[in-house]
Amino acid sequence: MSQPEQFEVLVLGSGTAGKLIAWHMAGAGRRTAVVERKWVGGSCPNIACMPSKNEIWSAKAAHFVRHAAEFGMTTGPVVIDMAVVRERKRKMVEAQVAAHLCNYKESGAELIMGAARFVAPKTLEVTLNDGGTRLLSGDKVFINVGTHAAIPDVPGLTAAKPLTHIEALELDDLPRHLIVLGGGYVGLELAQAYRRFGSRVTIIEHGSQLMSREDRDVAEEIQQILSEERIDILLNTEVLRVSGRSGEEASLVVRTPSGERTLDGSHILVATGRMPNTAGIGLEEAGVELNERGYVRVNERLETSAPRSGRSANAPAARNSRISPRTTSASSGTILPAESGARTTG
Amino acid sequence: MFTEPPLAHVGLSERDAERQNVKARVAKLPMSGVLRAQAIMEMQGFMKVLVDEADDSILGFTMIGPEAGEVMAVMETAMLADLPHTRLRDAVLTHPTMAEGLGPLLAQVPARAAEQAAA
Repeated sequence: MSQPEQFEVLVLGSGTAGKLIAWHMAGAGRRTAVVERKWVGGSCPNIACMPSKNEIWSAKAAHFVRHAAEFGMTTGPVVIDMAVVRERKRKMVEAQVAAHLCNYKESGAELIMGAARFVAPKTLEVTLNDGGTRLLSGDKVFINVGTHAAIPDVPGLTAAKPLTHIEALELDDLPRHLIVLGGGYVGLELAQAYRRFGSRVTIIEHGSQLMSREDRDVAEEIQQILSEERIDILLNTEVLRVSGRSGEEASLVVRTPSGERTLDGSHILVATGRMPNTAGIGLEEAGVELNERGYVRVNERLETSAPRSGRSANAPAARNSRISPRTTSASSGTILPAESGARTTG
Repeated sequence: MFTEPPLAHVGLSERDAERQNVKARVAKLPMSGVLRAQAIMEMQGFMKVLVDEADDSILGFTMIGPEAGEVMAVMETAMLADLPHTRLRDAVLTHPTMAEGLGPLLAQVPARAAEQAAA
């Protein structure tokens, strides 16, 4: 193995915790690099928190316009142009990415675009997006790899090329009938947004209530609100098989408490949970253990099982506050620089 | 969760409290009891708070309603400061804002069982 480039701080994944650590450390004078394969700034500004809130805001505007008469205004027929909705979102994302790049420049943290895997403890081999490879080593290494949408093991589902939240936020046409698998936070937000844009929407949830972690009265209130907007909600329902293809025609056979039925939709959105991005990145080479769910095993200081290494994402947040999952990563990003002994000057 | 209206939650839910065997007093206020919600005629949802049975600390807060995330931040601040719920209950919060509803919500927190027995 050739000699790796040595950094004091090496961060795998440029999501919220990782970037806060990197900017903080680099700003404090540490030689710092962040490796990112695709999304500068991670999921939050590119494909999750921020773009979803942007399109939800457009959906709110659509809702107001459709109900303009209640507010004493007369409008003509309301037509939604999803290409414009998407363009508005893309402009926001572009501004976010530009702001991130500016922070890298100002902090002095190096951003390296490529796919990394551990080839030895604290050592990453990066296949650069622009070609070539680099070998990097860090005194402290932070694993900040995030999660991706899980696709449940249902016959025909993968072949149907369902949307995840990523593709759902990139549509330039309006689904005729969007079938949402999963009655959790992501599914519900997008279900309501698309309903407000004008799609027919059906939510399929295998549990006996929406948002399984919430109190029953909370779940029932949200269910009532969504039902009033004429979103169809099927609880206690399993998807047995899928045929066709999302974006064209898709057919789902489902088992409800009252028997089997077939749902025909134009699009399928999968929002049934998350999987950690911990596979295929050589964590075993680095001595980093995973737990039974595939997440990196950490102690109360968010340290992995590898000797003297750190990790950031998907570890427990210091406090149980939630309206958005970003909180977890952001709070980890605030805690870790302090734990790691870095201090900004001044 | 940024549905409309949004859902915001901090600290313990009733379900958490039950599982963790934490004794809590619970109060709930429909959004129709919040003047701001009445003013803009957006009255879906509710506020719910869990207060410790033994002392007056706030254990958790859930809200479905307009600006739920902002109101949650007020509650979270109070929790971070270990403010007894009575201090927030008796505070004058700007009228008519959504957070103003925290007053009537907290006013509905039942007295401690010991106090009730004494009364």
